[in-house]
Amino acid sequence: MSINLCHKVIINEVALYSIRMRLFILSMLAVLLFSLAMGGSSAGVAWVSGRRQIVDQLNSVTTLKEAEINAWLESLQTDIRVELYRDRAEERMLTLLQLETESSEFKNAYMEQHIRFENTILLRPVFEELFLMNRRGQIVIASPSEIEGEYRRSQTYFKAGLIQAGVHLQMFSLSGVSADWNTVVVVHPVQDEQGQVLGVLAGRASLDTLNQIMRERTGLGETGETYLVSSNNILLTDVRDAAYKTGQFFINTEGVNLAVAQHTSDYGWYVNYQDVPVVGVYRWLPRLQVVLLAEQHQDEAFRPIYVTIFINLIFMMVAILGVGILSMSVSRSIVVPIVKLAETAAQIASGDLSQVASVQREDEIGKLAKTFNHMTARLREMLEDEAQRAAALEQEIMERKQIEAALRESEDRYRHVSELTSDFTASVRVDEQGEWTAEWMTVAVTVITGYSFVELQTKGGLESIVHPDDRALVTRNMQAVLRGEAYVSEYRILTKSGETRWLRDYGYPEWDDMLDRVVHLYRAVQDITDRKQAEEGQHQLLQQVQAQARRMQQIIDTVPEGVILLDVERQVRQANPLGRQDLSMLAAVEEGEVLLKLGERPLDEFLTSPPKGLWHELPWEENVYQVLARSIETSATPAGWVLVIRDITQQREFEEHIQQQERLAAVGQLAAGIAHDFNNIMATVILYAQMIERSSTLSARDQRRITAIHQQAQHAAHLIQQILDFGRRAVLEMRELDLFALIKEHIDLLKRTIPENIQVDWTYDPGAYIIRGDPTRIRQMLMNLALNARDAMPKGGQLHIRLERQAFSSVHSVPVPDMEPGLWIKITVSDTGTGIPPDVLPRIFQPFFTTKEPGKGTGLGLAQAHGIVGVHGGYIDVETELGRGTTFVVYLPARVKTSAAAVSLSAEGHDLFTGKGETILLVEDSADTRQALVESLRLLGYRVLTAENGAQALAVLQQEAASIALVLSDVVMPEMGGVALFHNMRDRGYNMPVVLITGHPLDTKVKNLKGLAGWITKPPRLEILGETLANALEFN
Amino acid sequence: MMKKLMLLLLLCSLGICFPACASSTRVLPTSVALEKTLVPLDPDNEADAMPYAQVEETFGPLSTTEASYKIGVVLKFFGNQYWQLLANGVQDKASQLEVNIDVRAAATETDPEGQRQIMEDMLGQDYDAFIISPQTDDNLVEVVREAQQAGLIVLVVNEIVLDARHWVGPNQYEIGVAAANYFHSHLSEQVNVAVIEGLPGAYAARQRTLGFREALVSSSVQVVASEPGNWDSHQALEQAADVLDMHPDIRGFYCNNDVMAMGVIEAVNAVDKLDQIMIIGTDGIEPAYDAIRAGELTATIDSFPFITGQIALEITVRLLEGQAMPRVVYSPQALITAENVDQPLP
Repeated sequence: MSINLCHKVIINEVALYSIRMRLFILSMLAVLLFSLAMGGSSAGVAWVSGRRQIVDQLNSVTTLKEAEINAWLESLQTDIRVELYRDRAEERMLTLLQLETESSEFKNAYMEQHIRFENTILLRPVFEELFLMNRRGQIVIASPSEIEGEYRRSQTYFKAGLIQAGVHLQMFSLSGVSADWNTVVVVHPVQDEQGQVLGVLAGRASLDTLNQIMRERTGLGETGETYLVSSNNILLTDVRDAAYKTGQFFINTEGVNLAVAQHTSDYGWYVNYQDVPVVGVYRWLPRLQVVLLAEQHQDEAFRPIYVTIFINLIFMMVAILGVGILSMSVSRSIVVPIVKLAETAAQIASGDLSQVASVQREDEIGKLAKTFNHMTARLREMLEDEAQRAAALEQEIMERKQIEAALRESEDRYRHVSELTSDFTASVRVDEQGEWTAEWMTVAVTVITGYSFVELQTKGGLESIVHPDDRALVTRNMQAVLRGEAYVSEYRILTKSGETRWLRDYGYPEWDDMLDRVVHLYRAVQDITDRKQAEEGQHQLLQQVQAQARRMQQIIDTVPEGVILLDVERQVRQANPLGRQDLSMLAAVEEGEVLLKLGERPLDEFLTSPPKGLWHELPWEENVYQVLARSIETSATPAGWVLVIRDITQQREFEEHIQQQERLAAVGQLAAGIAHDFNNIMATVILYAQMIERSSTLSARDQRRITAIHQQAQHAAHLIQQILDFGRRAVLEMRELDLFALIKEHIDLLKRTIPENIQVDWTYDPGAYIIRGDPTRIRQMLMNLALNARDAMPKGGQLHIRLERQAFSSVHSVPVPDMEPGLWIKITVSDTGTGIPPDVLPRIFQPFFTTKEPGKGTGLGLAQAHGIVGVHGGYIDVETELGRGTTFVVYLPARVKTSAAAVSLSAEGHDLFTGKGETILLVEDSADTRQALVESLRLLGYRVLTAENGAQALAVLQQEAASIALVLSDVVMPEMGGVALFHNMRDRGYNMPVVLITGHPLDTKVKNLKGLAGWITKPPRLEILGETLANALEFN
Repeated sequence: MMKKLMLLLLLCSLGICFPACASSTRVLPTSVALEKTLVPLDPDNEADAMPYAQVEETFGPLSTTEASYKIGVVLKFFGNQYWQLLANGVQDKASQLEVNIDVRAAATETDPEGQRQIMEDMLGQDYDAFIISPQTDDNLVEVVREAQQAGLIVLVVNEIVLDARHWVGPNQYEIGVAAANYFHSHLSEQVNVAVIEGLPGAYAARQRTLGFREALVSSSVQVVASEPGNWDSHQALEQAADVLDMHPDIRGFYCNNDVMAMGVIEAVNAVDKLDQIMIIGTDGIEPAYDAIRAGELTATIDSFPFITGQIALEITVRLLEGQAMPRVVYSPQALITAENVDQPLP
């Protein structure tokens, strides 16, 4: 043994310090040094030239982009030159720059040039705006024309444009509301014949083209990009990451900062705007004063260099491997024979004497092998004798083993038979004390229980693994056995693996008459687990079906409509709760009874399709029902019917309510539509009535009658006004209005008019209460709220009005949804009356809704107030408590202005303003209205000429211009309306004042008409007509 | 001399009573939960305030920091030169202190929702602090709260967010007072003037107008109109034209910013009254300086946006370094007229 160990140690040492290993290591070192030198130098070259190549590539992209930008800028300049010089445009522009805007040459030039501008933008959409500025930078003409009148004096492009043509980047905006400030503007001076610059023509080009040029990223890989940054560091064109928006991002990278600070172009390795290391080339574009950048992520840019170095490394590895293999094969031829001899010696030492060392050579190694072989031959002879004796002994042992095998085979056969059946049998010995001892069990017990017979014996027999729940049963079995009774029972056991199995156990006791007791028990046990599981599965299936049936019943029960199931005999088989309710209501029938009719109608009517629609309708008592029947068809004949019954009474009421609302809206629209004509009629009636009232020859009775006509006509006009207010179509005379003064005056009025048992008072916070509004409408709204309060307090009470200012800083704090934050004026009108019942509350602002007796109220008061508040941009809210009173809260937007013009309320009811015999040209198409106005004007002391429309009026003016002091004209007329007449008059040099009179809502066109002396609404009151005319004449 | 003394007394008394008035009438958004110790921000009336000139004296010079901070900056609108200059100031100080910055602004000056979106997007990234200037009092309230709850420092410039903890900017109220003083001392007895206001809801616009009006309460100079120009030159022009129409006797305009003053100049020129009507702007942008040199703009109250930007960044870094800064730091401001237009900083 110790000799063997020594051999092994020697062989290992030979392996570690072998000649082969030394040769191998030496040659590897040489190759490694060489490879490192080669690889290092080639990687260095790749690194330097690769970086140069990246910069060159970015540089060439930059040059290309710069050339494209310059070409685009050139084309812009060409375009603007063409715009200035083609089709005598320059001449027109000089006209626009030199002449008065009122002159016809100016107007003609404007019209024509405007069309030219529009065409250019349409045909060559390179420009978004084209405009001509005068020497002060004001835009004289532009397309789009919205910017006309604006000043661009402080923009660099304007200042530069006065000197020479050029292209400029707009660096800042003069508007806080426009996002389009970041644009390119191309300018060209406009000079007169003497070479003096009178203005600048400019075109604003969007940055889209630049964006397109920059977005073309061919040759820039996955991360490369080009973009422009203005000299104030603002991003001008899109970058890859859309989160960086143009005009909103301040770029602060080394590239941009260097280019902006030094106006230079160079390249560098720095972090970009996303903090990612990039290779960047930046170039200052002096013409636009912007920086052009081309950047690529260093990761991507350096990838080719890394790949080159990696390939070098691979080559190096392959070289090292090749040299290694070569050096190994050389050393092998020297070292292998020695190693083989050593291995043979080692094998012999471990006992294998048959080994012979091969002798292929005649050198020192060959001699050593021969000597070695001789020594082993001697050793082999000595050992052969010993071997023969051992063989005889072995023969004897063999025979004995054969006998044992035969015996084992017989046992196996018996075992295999019992293994083939899954059931097992067992025998138990029963002793005098009734204790059981298992004698044997067939092997199937192991298959079923997992325990071997021996294990079961140790545990205490089969009974020890019975499931705890079935122990009592087994105990009963054991007691039966002791009485000599056979048993059959099914119980569970727990197998060795913990699984539960079902067994069927047949027990047959053997009774010994001599001993008078049971001495043996023979058992046959079956595994019935599969059968038991099948039974269990069926049970679960049954439960699922039952659960599903219950769910279905729940669904039917919760359907919000009555569902009833009838069989062929019309007997009610089933109904949900609503169905049962419907049955008792409509037929007084319960489940199980036969249903013959619903309401008054036979059931069979409902079992067929209705004449129209899907549902039968069944009015019954105060309700309306819908019934739908569907037959249940399991075969060709119906097996029964499902009836669905629903109560649609409330839905009907709701539909009627909606229809009512729509009708009301239609009434409002219709009323507004006829208001103009109606007002014309009322104008005639009122004016005549007023004139007759003023006549001194009238008898007292006629005086009363004419007063009644006047009052009723005013009432009719008022009714129309209410409808217009509700429909928000009223003519408004908006102006700045001091609510404080208005309410103060209104309170005095209320104190005079409200019954004495109602106490009227008001409170207010100090401050200014200026709104923009129509005083007449606001008074009307206040009056309606006050009258509503009066009617709520038939037995007297308190009417309180409060005025205050409230500021809301955010949408969360406003009291009414949709209200804008800001400064609001709050008017509170509260009474101590009866309050509004909850069912009435939602409808109080509806028109024609009234709780008053017929004839006592029109139901328009609150609707009108609501409309008036709405048209003033305000909100109205109401709080009420039955028996305690009601509070209306009105919010109106406050005006901050505190100008002196803020509205002194003109006192009314003053004397008539009359004329001094001046001549007035009246233009009105309606003959009746015209006649009424003629007589009114005469009553006011004017001379009157008439015309039926604008065209006629111009003809009259041509004849009588010198004598006409004022023109009073309707606005809407068939041939030339009032506005057109006004313009025509001014064009022809008629400068007398013009007053317009209209029944239509005034649009801004009329309101903003510069130079209009005044306007009045139809039907005009005589005082207003007199005052307006007198003012217009005096002002002139 | 006596008149100036009276005015000074009046301003002092206003200064004392104003915080009390403001707290009783201000309507706070109900959703704003304020910290117990933190009163709603009102920089012009803040007790814990200090002019920038005293900062270095009190807290020592700020040496460059070891930590590499990243600061998000959300301004109003790059179209306005004021904010361009402020961004340049931030950048200048950032490169000096070797701090990373990321500066953004909304698409227009009246785009509060867009500005909120920008700030919300930036919240998800790894900024150590924010410098912001909200377009209105409300639009950044939620995001600022979110940032402050996450432990980030938020410094507000010029405008306000009620529960902001740090603020830098000029005293907006005093800007209005300065304009009022100029009118008071340069206009003769009993004249009318008008205000062209910025975007309603912006703190700066409100305070400048308030300062201007309150300073003139008992003066012979009367404010007869105050109209919103919404930071827009052309809207300002139209409002001014209306005012001139309604009050031909107007003798002065005060504009909440210079861009609007540019529009007012044109409105006044259109009625040929540039020699009769004084116009004062606010901000100190380049076109305003040009207009003062050209004799068209009487004055502007320059709040030195470049310097304000530098201060905002410096204070933010000081806060990041754990220095206990006052809640409000005032940046300098000065009235620029033809006399000092070429040497604005004293």
